[in-house]
Amino acid sequence: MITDSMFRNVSVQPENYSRKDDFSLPDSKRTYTHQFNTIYTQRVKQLKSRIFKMATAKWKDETINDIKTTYVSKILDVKNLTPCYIIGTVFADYKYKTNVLKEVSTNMYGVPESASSLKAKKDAQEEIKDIDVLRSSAYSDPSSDKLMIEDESGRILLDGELLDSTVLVTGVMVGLLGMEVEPGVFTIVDIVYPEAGEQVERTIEEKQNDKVLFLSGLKFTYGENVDNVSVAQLLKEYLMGELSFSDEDIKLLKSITNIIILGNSTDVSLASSTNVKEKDKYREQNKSVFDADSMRQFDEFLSQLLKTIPVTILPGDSDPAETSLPKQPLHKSLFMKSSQFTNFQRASNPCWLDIDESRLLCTSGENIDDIYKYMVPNLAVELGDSTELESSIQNEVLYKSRLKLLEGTMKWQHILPTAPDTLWCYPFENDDPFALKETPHVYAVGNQPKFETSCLKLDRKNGEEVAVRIIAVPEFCKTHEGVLLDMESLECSVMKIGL
Amino acid sequence: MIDCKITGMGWLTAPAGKYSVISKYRQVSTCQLEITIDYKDLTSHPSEGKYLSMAPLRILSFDIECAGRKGIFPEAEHDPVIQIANVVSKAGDSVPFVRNVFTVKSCAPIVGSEIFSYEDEGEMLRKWKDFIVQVDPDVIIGYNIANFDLPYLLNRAVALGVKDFPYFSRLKSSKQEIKDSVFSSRAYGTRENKVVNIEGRMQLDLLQFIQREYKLRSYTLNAVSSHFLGEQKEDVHHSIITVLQNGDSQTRRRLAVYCLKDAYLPLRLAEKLMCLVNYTEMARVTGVPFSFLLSRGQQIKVISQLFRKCLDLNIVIPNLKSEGVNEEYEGATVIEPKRGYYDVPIATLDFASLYPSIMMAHNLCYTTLLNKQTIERLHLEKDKDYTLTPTGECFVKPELRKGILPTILAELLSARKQAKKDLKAETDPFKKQVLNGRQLALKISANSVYGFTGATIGKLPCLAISSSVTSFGRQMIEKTKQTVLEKYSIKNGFPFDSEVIYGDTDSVMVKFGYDNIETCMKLGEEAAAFVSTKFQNPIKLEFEKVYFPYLLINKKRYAGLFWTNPKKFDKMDTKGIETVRRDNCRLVQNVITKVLELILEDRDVTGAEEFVKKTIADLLQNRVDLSQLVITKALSRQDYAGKQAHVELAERMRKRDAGSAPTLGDRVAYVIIKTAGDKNYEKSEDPLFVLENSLPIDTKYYLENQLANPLIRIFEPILGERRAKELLNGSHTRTVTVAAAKTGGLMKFARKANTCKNCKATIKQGETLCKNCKSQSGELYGRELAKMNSLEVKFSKLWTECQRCQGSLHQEVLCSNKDCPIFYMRKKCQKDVVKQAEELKKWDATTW
Repeated sequence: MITDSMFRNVSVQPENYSRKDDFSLPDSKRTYTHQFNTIYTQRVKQLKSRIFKMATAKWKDETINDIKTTYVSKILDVKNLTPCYIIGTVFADYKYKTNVLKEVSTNMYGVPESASSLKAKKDAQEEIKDIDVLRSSAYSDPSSDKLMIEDESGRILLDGELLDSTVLVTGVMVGLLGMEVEPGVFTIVDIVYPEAGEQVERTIEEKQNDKVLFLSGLKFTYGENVDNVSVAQLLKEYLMGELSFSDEDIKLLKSITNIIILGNSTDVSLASSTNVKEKDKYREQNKSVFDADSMRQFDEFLSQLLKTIPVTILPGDSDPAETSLPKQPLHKSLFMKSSQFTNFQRASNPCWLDIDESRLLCTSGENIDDIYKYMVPNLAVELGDSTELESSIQNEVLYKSRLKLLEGTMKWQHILPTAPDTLWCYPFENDDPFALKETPHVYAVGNQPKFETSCLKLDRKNGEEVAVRIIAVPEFCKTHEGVLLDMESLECSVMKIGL
Repeated sequence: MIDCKITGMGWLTAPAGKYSVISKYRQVSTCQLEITIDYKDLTSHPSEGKYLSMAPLRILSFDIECAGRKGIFPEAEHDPVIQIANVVSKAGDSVPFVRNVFTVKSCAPIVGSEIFSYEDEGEMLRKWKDFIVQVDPDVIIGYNIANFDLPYLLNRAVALGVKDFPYFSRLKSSKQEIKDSVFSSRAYGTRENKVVNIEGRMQLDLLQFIQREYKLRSYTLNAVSSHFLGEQKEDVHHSIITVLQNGDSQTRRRLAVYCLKDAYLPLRLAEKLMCLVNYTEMARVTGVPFSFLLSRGQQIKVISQLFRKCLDLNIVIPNLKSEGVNEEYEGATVIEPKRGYYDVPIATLDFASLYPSIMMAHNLCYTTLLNKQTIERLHLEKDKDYTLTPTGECFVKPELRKGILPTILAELLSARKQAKKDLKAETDPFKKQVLNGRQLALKISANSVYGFTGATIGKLPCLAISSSVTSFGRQMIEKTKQTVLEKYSIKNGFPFDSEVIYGDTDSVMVKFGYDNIETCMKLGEEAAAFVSTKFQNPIKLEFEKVYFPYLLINKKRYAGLFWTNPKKFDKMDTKGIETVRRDNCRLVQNVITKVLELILEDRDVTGAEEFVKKTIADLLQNRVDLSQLVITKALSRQDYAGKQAHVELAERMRKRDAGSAPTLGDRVAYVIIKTAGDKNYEKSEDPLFVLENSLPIDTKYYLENQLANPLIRIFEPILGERRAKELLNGSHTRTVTVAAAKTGGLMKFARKANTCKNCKATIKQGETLCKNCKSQSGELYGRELAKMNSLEVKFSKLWTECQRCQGSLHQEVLCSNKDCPIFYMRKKCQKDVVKQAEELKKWDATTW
């Protein structure tokens, strides 16, 4: 097969669409003079009225113990033993959240974080499983965790069985029905989320089964761990038709109109060359996430793909991009070769894409990874022999599926609730860009442990429903998998590169 | 009190039938029960058995907020009291049963607290008084209430003409008034205090208590709570208080929450430090009233005991006029230290309660002192009938007459033994606290007897006693040294000659030569027992601990790991080293602590060296956080003879903005910056001002005047002089980058040219790199990016932490707690991140 002979469909991607610059930082001078409270205030502004709509619709005529529930507009005004509903922002006071004060006062700030519990395990020469690594940075300690809800007036502690089956993390705005049983503790019985944002109409035409390929976590590394690169090479060859022999394969490949790479394309932390030169020993040492050789290889890889397929790339945590969200597009100078192509698109993270009149909302997965840390007990917490956690939702997230977390962000109409509390973001003053104003058709999250998908239906006030295709895109370097999305049916399938 | 054997904080019984209850209408007090009784009929109970328990005292803790004018510390004549927060709890309970706030103007509700709002300030004060009378607390505590809150309230009531306010004691007719008192003591220095009489209610000012009992870097409530409770506290600057008060009920609520916290903290501190329990026991042991413990010195306690004992023995104490003679006598010996780093266990032999036991052993007392005439008159024989002390004084033997002081001491020590025994057996945690407080009180009392006899401006100075005591002490240390050296030597069949490397007052440090901790412990115990036999009862040498390794720097300056069992060390023990001193910046403290940890715990001298070098490099390259460099000094008097850095700075700050400038009594925080002048007092500057104007830090000052000496002191014994010096001048100090001044004469004429980020070649405006460097752009960009990222993370972490600390996501952080370790950090980070963002922006502008 000769690459040049491959003819591909071209997707419609308008140059300008309404949400294109949602996650761009201001061009003018960035200011860091204001604090983070403005983001929360903006969040309230955007979501509170939408929650109120849903809450009144649902609970207007609700009674508890034969007492009619009322809306209490200030959390402080909640009266003891009087059923009511309130709206506010959740705050999770969890034991293992990063605590800079402790770091500074014990003089540990800037010392590379090596989770002590993990180290202890290593010292004891116990086997370290993937899940242990994940858990070592988790925040939760089920025995002391405290969930609260607050508004401008004050806070109240949350309680109730419902909490064991609901995903709630810092920064999420919800409406809660319940009553104050003990002083200062609000026992909840029901919960509502903001009304889903409007969805753009999708005109479904003949799409000839056009497909979009999602990839994430390619992790090009120059070092001992060369495996990542060779599998990626294999992927490239496959995509370019160099390995395919059946017509079916060719047909499938031809139908791929776009590749979207959801972050973590390079990773220097895997390379072991961290020796500090004698000369630089006393220099400032900020860990650079840039490695010239891996970047060059990745650039080469991209530029070859670009010859036939348009590629969109999002920055991820291990890429040379800013840490705080929204991450701005990867810098042009990193892609000396690929930048020459017009079908190469460097996007922000998160970003909105408009492909064939479908709206895609993509992130590189930091948001979900951080929410995950709220749901899982830290490694320092003994789980006991039963390996069953008391809370059913924790159990599900830890052992089975992360889908609830992805769905959560859609329900909350907020894709980054834990920023700025535990996820770093720019201190926005006049907007909370992460609160959804529009519901996407497709919501794709990169760098997840395994492929998962669902079609989530969200309520709107007048009984309407909007549907979102939710996709957890697996980390390629570990699973060798990408996800194909059919742009007509919005159905997904896995594409696996076998060795 | 003494006549009836009533002690402070003790239990009394009024026997049935001996008293009569006064009817409600004729009561002169607001007490629940008022009785008349002949004082001779009262029975006092010694603190034993069921009388050991604490009364269920009701404790009120309160805090007031004043709306000051801009730039002036609140004055009662002008500035209103706007909120009073109260927390009431029963002694021993963990949760307070009353929490409320009195406010002027409305205030939004606070979960778990009551709010009483009044439009009129006078009305609020009146209601507060009613509240006090009604809740009827036995103890009133707070932070700095004695010198601020209480006088302020009283003065304010006068200014407002609220005539019925100052009557909140238990005596209806007694008016509360402010008196000045000056208290001066050798141990605590001179303090001026205000005293308010509140009959029937004890006052315990936590500030005074902590100043008395603990040595801290800073005594602000922030610093104290972070030290003892491990919590940082939000601090609202007093200039913001007025703004909050003039807002709406929400902003006033915010203030009330803050005020409540400040009222609750003293209560928690009191519980944590167990000051009520410990002081109660002290009062019971010494027999003085509770209030004396804070307002008076050590002497009164000894006198009280002396009086009580004399009453038993029917002796009259002469009322001597203190003459204030300044006779000096020789103090304790210090065996010249053999400086160095000891990598073998060092056993420490201590005399248990040395001075009290000397007094007991030799029967030293006022009543046993003999003069020549008496000896001749009664034909007393030396050594048989009297003891000749090394200073030439004579004391009669106990067989002839037992002294009062030795009797008191014997009682104290046996009581302490008993308390310690009970403590071991007791299981109830609250009773345990009481017993522990008791044994501590007994120990302190026993030790202060010696000091009492030596206090030349005291009530009953008797230098014959005190100088004899110290001379005996010196003799004994010397003798111990010789005995040990003699016994544990190669001559006597031991593999090593032992060595006494250091000794101070009541302890001797011995190097036996073994490198095994267990052996040393065994030998130590053996030696202690052996030496004890050479002395008169009850003097006893005890083996307590082993230091291993041990770093002896100088007299009263050492550090070592402290072992009491051979398996695991208990803690790191340091003395006289810059880990605790207050006049150093935090950097010194941190570096020294870390270095000692590395050397002593990890035995990693190379690591310690490397750490020091790295820190110095960080310092010289301006990477050390500003809060680490802040030095604080109290602004005490205006008339210093020499010019001092902090006084000069306070003066300069006053000129800049009278409002925020430190006032007398405040601690001034400053850093040393580079200036044209070279005098230190000209180089001090307000840390915030430094941050705002990007003034360069004089890193050399910190290296040479702060770090150098303590480091040399530690490393010299280990590495030797030459290599220790190298620490301060090695290659790591070479990379000094100086921040150029932004202003200054010559800079006005200079024009800034655009240079390549990498090689500094001049290039066109708008470009970032020169032609040759463009190929490395990725790498260079990566470096800038890394810088940006570390700043972004820092910024986010710091500000979210402050949000968590203040307990609200929706409200702006107002805190200005300068004692908080992240306060300056977050300010600096805010500046740095903007700068770096601009730097990064330049890369986008470049054409590629």
